Amino acid sequence: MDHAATRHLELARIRRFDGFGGLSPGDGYLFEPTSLHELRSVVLLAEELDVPITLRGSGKSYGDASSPLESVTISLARMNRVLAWDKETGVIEAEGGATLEAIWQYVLQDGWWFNVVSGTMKPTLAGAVSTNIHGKNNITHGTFAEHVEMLEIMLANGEVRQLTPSQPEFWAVHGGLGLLGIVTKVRFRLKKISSGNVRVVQRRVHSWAQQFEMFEKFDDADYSVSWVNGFTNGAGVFQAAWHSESSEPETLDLRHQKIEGKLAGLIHRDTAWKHLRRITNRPGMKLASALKSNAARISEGAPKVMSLVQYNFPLDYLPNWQQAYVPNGLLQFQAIVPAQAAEGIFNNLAQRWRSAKLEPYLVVLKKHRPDETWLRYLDHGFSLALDFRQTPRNAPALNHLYMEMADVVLNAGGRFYFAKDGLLSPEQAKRSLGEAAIARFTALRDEWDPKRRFKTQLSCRIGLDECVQYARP
Amino acid sequence: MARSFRTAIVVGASSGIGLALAEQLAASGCRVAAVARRKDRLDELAARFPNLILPFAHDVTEFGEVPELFQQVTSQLGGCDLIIYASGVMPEVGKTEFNTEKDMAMINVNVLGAIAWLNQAAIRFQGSQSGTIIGIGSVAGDRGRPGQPVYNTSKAALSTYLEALRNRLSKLGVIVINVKPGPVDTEMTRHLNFKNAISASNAAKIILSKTSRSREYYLEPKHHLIFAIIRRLPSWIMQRRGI
Repeated sequence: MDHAATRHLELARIRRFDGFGGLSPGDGYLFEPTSLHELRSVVLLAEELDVPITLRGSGKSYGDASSPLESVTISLARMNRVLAWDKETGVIEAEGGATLEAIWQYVLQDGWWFNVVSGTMKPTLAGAVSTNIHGKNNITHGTFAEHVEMLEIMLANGEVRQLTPSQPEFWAVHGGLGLLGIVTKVRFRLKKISSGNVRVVQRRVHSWAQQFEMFEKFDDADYSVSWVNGFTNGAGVFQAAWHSESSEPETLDLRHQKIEGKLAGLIHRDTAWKHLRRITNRPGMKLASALKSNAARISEGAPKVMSLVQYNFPLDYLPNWQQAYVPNGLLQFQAIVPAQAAEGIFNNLAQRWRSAKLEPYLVVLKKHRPDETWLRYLDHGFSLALDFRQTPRNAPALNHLYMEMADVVLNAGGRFYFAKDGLLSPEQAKRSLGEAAIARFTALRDEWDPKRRFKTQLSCRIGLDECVQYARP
Repeated sequence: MARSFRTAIVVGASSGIGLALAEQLAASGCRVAAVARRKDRLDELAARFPNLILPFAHDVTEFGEVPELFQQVTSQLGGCDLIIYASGVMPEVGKTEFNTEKDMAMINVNVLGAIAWLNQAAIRFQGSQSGTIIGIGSVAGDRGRPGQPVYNTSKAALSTYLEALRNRLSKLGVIVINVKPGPVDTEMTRHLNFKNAISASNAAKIILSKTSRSREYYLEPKHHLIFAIIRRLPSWIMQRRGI
């Protein structure tokens, strides 16, 4: 072959990037531009060398949504400034690399909070847009996209565009999995609060039917979620929460929101995952799940007051908790199913994972409404997010179970959230997203990125891109 | 337990241990970049493992080509979990012969080619904090012996270089291995008429079964004892016995 000398990427830029679950590693050449000008240079360099670009936020997607394929891997970690903040209207504008953590720390003292936020505060705004995050109030507040007033995107040719909700492409970029361009700026609305606390009510439930009843019964709650015990068929602890309506300015102080350093006054939170690792196995998690239900029995009566940070960001409560799953990995499955079919589907799924003795160690149930994005993943119904521990020994059976469960969901008209998935096949992805949606999205990519500069392992795996170099694990 | 690799580069994949390694990796489902001078042999190998073996014709003494080629290889391969440097030459050298041309060829292929390729891998693995580097050394590198002065030198140099890489990179999670085969039945050694030589295929099997940690080891267990003694022999005994 011809090895004529041409420019190539600096090898020292290579880094290993993985999904949050630790099962989707890929190597890429890391670039961290500090300005639009530098960013454009990186994009044009990738064009010149004909190398794909993968966009990397905080790496909190569980699967391969931001895993590179020897790509120019762009992180906006150094384009993270708040550009404008109006504390009268609650509208903030920030660069794409600003994290949700930086935003709440900026606005809380002025009495504002997110309309929609994920279970971790670590995502960047660009990541929040690209995966169109949702939270425990999806049924009342929708997804992140519904609160964005303007976003700025750099396309594959270096051109910068601003998009507003009146433009159809705005709804393609939201939830567009970072395949249309680089979100460099986001302007969005926050909601007014008078307290930094929420009032939380817990109820023990014993079946899927009871779970759904709870969501009906507490439909006035600001937030609702249920923590299902994966070792049972639908039992768990339902939680509803309301923003505190009284004026409590002292709770808006950042110090009030600080998550305390030690668990039970003994174990430092930063190293708690090492202890968690000892019980991240079937007997340990079975016991922990039972203890959680019993603890809820005690606290069922009185409402509990929690800080906004503690309530909204449970995934940050134990830093690096996913490390408890290494050297193996965390495989997450999040399916959204139509309300009328939910009980039957969840029954079916639970029976499958229980008979395979592959129970998920964490199961989260939420209620949803459809989103308006082109690659829509939500619907009227319920979602079930399952955390499985993958080991070399159980991987074949677990992957088989995952695919079987995916087919059960898809046969019932369900959908999948690709920020969580790491395994679906192109055919399953097509059924989840719908052929018309994929065709519309592809047509926009043909227009904005005809050479398919923006690629990820996910886009290759689910057949949105053809990637000769992608080796499916 | 043998580890499985998704992507590997085998330099020197057209014959001998390198060929057997490329074949066995591909048979396990690993995508392999097979690098060697002889294109016809690589094409034949790639035809036997479609989509799993990617051929790259390259002369390892063209050191200047390596940085760009390394990037082309990793790009087409979709990564690099493992690199094996198996290129080596051992021309026939007479008992009284001192031939600088042959000696330079051995140093170029056995040492400098290894450094050119493995330095690229080292930079990459340092950044990704993962990866496995295997160098095919030799028991011949343990002592300076009269039969092959520069071949001994080249394998000793490779061994020291790999030890240095191991000491630099192991703490980052990179595995660096120096395998020291004794007699192996390959094209390179056929003129030596080894008795009791193991096959290249067996050698490759052993090499791929021992990739879980950084180390230097003899391919055949008996050599651990034999070469423990040889390494400690005083030079005057070697001179007197012609070892």
